[in-house]
Amino acid sequence: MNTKNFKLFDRGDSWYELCFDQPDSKANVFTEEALRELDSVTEELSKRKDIIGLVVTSAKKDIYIAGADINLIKDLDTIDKALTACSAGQQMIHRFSKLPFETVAAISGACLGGGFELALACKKRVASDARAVKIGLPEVMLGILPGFGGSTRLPRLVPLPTALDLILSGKQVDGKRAFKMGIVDAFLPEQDFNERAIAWAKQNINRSGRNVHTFMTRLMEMVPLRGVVFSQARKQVMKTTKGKYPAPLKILDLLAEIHGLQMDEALKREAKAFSQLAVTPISKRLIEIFQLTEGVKKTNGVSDEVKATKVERAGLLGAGVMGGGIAWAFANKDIPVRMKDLNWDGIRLGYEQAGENFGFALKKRKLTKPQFLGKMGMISGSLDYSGFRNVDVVVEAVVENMDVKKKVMAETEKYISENCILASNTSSLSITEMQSAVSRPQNVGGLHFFNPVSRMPLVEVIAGEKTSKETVATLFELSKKLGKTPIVVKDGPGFLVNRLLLPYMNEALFLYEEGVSIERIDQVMLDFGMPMGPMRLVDEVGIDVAAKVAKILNQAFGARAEASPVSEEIVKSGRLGKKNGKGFYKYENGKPTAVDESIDALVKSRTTKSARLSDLDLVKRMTYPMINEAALALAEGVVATPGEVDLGMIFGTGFAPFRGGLLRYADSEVPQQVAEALEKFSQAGGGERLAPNQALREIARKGFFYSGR
Amino acid sequence: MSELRDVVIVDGVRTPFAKAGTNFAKVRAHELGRVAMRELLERLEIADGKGAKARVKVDEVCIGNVGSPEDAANISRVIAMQAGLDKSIPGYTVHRNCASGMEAVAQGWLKIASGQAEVMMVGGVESMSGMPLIYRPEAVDFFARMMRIKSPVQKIMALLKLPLGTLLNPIVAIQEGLTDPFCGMNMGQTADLLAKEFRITREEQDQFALDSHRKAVAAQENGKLAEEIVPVPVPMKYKEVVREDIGPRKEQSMEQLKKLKPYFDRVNGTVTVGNACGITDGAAFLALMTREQARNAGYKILGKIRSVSFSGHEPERMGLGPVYASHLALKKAGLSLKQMDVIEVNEAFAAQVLSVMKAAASKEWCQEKLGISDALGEIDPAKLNPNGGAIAIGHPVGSSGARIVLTALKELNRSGKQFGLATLCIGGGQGGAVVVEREA
Repeated sequence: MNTKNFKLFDRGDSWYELCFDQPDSKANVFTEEALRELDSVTEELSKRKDIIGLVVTSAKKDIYIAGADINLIKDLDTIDKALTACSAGQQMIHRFSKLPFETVAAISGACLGGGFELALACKKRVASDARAVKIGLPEVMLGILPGFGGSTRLPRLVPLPTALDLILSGKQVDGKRAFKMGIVDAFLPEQDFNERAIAWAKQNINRSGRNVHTFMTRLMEMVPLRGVVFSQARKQVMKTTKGKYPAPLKILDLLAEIHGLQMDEALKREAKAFSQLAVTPISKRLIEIFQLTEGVKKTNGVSDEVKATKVERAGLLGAGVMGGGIAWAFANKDIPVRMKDLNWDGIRLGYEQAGENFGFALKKRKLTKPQFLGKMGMISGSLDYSGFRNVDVVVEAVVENMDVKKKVMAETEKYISENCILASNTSSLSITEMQSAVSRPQNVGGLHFFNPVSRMPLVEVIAGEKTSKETVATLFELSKKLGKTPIVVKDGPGFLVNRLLLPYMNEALFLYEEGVSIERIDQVMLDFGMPMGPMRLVDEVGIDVAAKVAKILNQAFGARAEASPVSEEIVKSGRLGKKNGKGFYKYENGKPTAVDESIDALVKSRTTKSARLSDLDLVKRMTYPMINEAALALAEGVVATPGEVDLGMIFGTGFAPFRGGLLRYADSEVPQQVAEALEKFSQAGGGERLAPNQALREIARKGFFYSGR
Repeated sequence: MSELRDVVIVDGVRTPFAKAGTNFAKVRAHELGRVAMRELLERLEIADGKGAKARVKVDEVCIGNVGSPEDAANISRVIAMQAGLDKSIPGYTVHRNCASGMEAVAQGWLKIASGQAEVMMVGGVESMSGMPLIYRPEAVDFFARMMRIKSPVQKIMALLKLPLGTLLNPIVAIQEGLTDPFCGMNMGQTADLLAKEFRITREEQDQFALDSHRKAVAAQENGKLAEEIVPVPVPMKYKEVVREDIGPRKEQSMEQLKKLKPYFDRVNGTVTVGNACGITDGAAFLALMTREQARNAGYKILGKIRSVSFSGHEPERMGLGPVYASHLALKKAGLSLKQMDVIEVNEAFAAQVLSVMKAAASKEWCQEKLGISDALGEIDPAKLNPNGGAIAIGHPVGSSGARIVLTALKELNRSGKQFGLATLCIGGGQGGAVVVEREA
């Protein structure tokens, strides 16, 4: 009784193995076809009287069942369609759960989403100790909830706090952890795992499921305490999502509602809740982002014919806070990195920064002390270029000054091997110009990390005029190896992210000059979903740095990048932002405490011109110029696709992910309206700075940034 | 036996030596070793010692260590792996007390000279701060009893018999380790004995100690010591980088030294903590290979090992070890003491080094103990420990033997002279000596 996806094997003693082996695929995924086949297998098996037990295995290395086909979810556009689809799948798995004999899931790899929900529908579960074992319900990260019975079954298996934690965070646990949590009944060695699992299943057929409930967990599920558990969880959710994401809140409602209900009724409500979430634009946006990042994983930034070099050792020039962060990134992936600076005070700073980053992992017990020292041991310091002949890539993070960078690159080139790549971590200087200083310009590219390196996932891989495809591919693959999300960006002022971010900060400063308060500017953007208000961002970046970059872009782009005079005026008064504890905000121990109102007196040119703009108009004034610039950047080929703009903004600036990124947001606002609003702002005094450019008009004429909308 | 091959030292590096309980108090021996080893691998462009990037392939790692940290029993292997050498490169640890680091050099030389290896990474490492306090047997028995008892009541009863006195009076490993198990004398006491027998006055000892500090401070100031040192960023916070030895005292004076009370023999002794070496943390490593390997890889060669010798004699006069061992090493090298341009005698104690000088220059002593017709020779104070010695710099027991070979070679290369002798006394009544020659 074999199907395309499922094979049934007789394992003796009236035991059978059902092996999931999706054809022509490295993974097992619940496609419509696979689900239908599973259902027909269930149907057949349910008629058999001779079966004592069934063990469900996977034929894939490192993957058990990776979940449901994400495209199925993406295409659900009405609640009815979503409900039908969800209920169908849910019922198939529910029928499987009712098979009249023992069923055991033998989990030897990634067991996520729908895959885990099938495992939950088995009567028992065993997991292997393989590193690849990851068990979890990541649905919440896609703006939905487990709809194949997972939301119903998990809280019935393990204590409520455990279930809430898994479903609300989407976190994935390994076999050992799963065993401790009570998710699986046994934890077996990965060697000959399927054989062991079958033997274990036969031996333990009479054993009832594990009971991981304690007096305390039972207590917590009783009426008064249960309410407390839920309200605590809700508080936590509100704190992390600020209420911008409906899925976790819906999950909380659902779990509270179905507690103690009959299984059939609970499943019905689960499907209903799923369908409500599945059609939300937020879910669609989150899925798009997920698919964009998955897309990055599959490319090398150029094309498959181009071969990237594997980076085994790295060199680093300039060991400040940024350098230390980059050193951390290498060391974290066990790539030895040689850190060169002019003196040991500088090198020490780099060590301190890297140590601080690993210190967090130590504190959270993700690293032991010997592991901490092992990771830190990947870093070594030097005042000269000794050891640089052995590195595959050198990242320079010296002072942001073209002459210095050129000199350093020309010098470094003498000490590195012929094929070694020389990457600049510049945030604004031209890679093409740097290439003029060296004899192997094809090996020079940009590798722009964002600060703090340990937390910002984006890396801009910058191709100068003479950068070879191999260099781009190597830097792209390296970024992925370091756990980052790279985008390939053409050389140009501000590259992509800073180029788009600058009009936003600039516009915030203009609004401030026009009489809008610092609090209000920041608050409307926080409400919009930015992780930090623009005025605080200016403080964070450094008011002087912001002024300098604004000047550079002004020179490069002319009147459309007219810089607000406010920042320069403030810098003159000695306020540099967070770094000297004086900016738009007051600081205590490096943390902002409150808006510093005394700054208002420093800005002589302040008017009240825009003080009465509505919140919505404020948001438009700050976000639309970014869209305007993005249209131009796309037209100039700075990046190839709107998807890359969105990845860049989300992972480089924290741009509200639930909006899907800058250009998804632009599309939801409709480019035509954006252009019109900008026209209005332009005429109201913004002049050329706010005028919609030709590229945006073109897109407005055609419709949207993303095609297929 | 077939002809021995020439063995050369291409480079070496050490961590700063820091007085125990100071800057490296919480840094494990293997961490110190890792820093030095990694630096040497980087400077020589050896990478992982095996792959395509390695300028030479490393055959083995041998490291001397006395204190065997409890979490790194074969510390050589731990350091090799942590420093990034490929896992296929084996490593072993050797122990010859104070000459453990020199024994590692000897091992490297033996293996390469005899054709068993082409490239050896050798050295010594010690964290005397990290030496443990050990429970006394009574306390160990108590814990074993407690583990066997299951019933809570009995447990409480047993707890009442807690041998608090022994628990609070542990065996101090470092103290035990510095006491000779045969003659029962502490190392300091053996130095006091030599002072009496060789008629070394307290003042001579203090003067010698003062000179050691002065020479070391000068070598720090003119950057000579920095040539052999890699700075160590101190974990776990990395708020500090130790760049030079913590030991040499610029403001050291005779008056201060005079004030100190004899430490080991409080009644009749002359050895004080001021004219003895301090207990210290530090690591030193060298890269040894055949001349052919060094030439093919294009390395500048620091020097060649002419001979290595160890000797044994009575434990209570362990400090005279350098005379016995140097005699053997010089004989093997076919050279005389007079020909030596730089002489590094490890300064365990001022009295001990001064006794070595007297014994070597004494015809009667040499006739009786070495069985040679004439004195071994005078040790010219100008050639002796030109950049200070262990009294100022410190003596991390396992590493000093490697350190003095490195220091001697660097000095030969700076001064353009030819021959160097590095020798030390070894607790238990042994001596070790290495003769090196600068490559022209």
